[in-house]
Amino acid sequence: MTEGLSPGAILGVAAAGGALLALDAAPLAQTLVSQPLPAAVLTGLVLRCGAAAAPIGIALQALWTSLLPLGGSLIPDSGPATVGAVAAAALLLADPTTAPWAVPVGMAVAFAGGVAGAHTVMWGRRANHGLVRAAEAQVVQGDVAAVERAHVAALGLAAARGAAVALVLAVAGWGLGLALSRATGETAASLAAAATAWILPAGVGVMVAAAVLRARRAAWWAVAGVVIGAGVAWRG
Amino acid sequence: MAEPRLPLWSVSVRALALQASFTYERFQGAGFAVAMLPVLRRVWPDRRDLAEATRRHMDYFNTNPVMCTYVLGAAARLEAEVAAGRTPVEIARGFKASVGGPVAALGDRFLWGTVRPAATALGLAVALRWPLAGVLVMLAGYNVPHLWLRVRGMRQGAALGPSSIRDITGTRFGRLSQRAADVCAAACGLLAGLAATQAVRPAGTVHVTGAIWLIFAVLSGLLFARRRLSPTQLGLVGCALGLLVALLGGPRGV
Repeated sequence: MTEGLSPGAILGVAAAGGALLALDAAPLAQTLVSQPLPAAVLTGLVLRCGAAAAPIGIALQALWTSLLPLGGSLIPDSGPATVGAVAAAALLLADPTTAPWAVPVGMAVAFAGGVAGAHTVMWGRRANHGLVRAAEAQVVQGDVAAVERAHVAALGLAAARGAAVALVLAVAGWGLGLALSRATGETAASLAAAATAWILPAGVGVMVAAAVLRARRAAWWAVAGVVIGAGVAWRG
Repeated sequence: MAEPRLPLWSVSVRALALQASFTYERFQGAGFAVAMLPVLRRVWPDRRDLAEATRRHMDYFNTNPVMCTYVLGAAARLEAEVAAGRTPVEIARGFKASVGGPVAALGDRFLWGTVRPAATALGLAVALRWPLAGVLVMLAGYNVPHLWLRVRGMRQGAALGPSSIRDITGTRFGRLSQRAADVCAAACGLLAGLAATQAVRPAGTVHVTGAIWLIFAVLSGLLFARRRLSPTQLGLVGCALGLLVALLGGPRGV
């Protein structure tokens, strides 16, 4: 699945993707490209491992959609975490002995990495505090461009943080997959995949509950949606 | 003296990076000042006045990053009036301080609470079968209203000043928000119906995994609704369970 791509190239893509998606998450534009589904599918396309990337992105997206970026709240660092997880999956797919671990390890790495990455976002915001304070002192002296320089430096910091998170997760996931494939047999990978498959229904259940909780009168719309969706799937 | 033409396009582009220098002390304050700089440079030719206005805009500010264009457009107009001596600076400062919260509440509810989950649910429903098409549906479903609101906010803000906020506090926007919540619920239901039926009916027969699928979905929804477990906790528990089952049930040689 990842023919022609060396581990170095995969890690390079992880670093570049992590940097770009860390910017989209909050510092720049917020177009949702950094959400798990687009991040996983697009990274999978680049790394030629779409079949493994899609289930990771779909499960993560279903579960994380209900977490809202309100005020200064910390939500999972989904972009870099997803890129790191898909890169780990791509690295594991390159070897037939580790390939069965690609999806379950990718999911585990993405969840753990999303939570850990959120704390690095907090560090970044604390670093911004120093940049803004220093810029303010220069603005008072008459150098108004100082606040623009601080702003650009903060963007660079966010990109570097995203690249580092994605790289660390890709390498950690690769190592975890190698260790698990050495310690266990093929049955273990199938069991892990089956056990992590419940994340998608859990996410869908949470999404419906969140939508109905937000607007209780919309419950009938949710029921109508379920009936139409079931009908379409049944016929198809 | 003729009023200077405000560089609103530059402000709109810079507004995309409103949260780049986000801090826990001033939130989007520095980003707001950076977005306003093209206007400030235009209306305050004196270096000392420009520095004072820039510092003033670096104070605490927080709102929804998309709806911020309403505030930026109105603040740009007010700044031109302050520079021309027609409006006291306290009015401009008071406007910014008072609208951040209400605009954030409306924007968060509309964009994060309804448009984003609706676009995501539709994208996921398509992605179950065609992942790339699902991504395109999700990105288009969110970014069309997102970009439209950014552009409309800047235009309305600059044209109407502080009264532009009525554009989103009026009953029309309230009705739109309610419709979006209905669409969001229907989209989530559609995703649930599609995904559940696909799991329940592999190859045309009811399968035991389908029943387990439904139990997990209902149980997770209830756990979430009763605030017992967050979505991230659910995911972490799932992954930990998966790895544990694998290690216990499938040692080498089994």
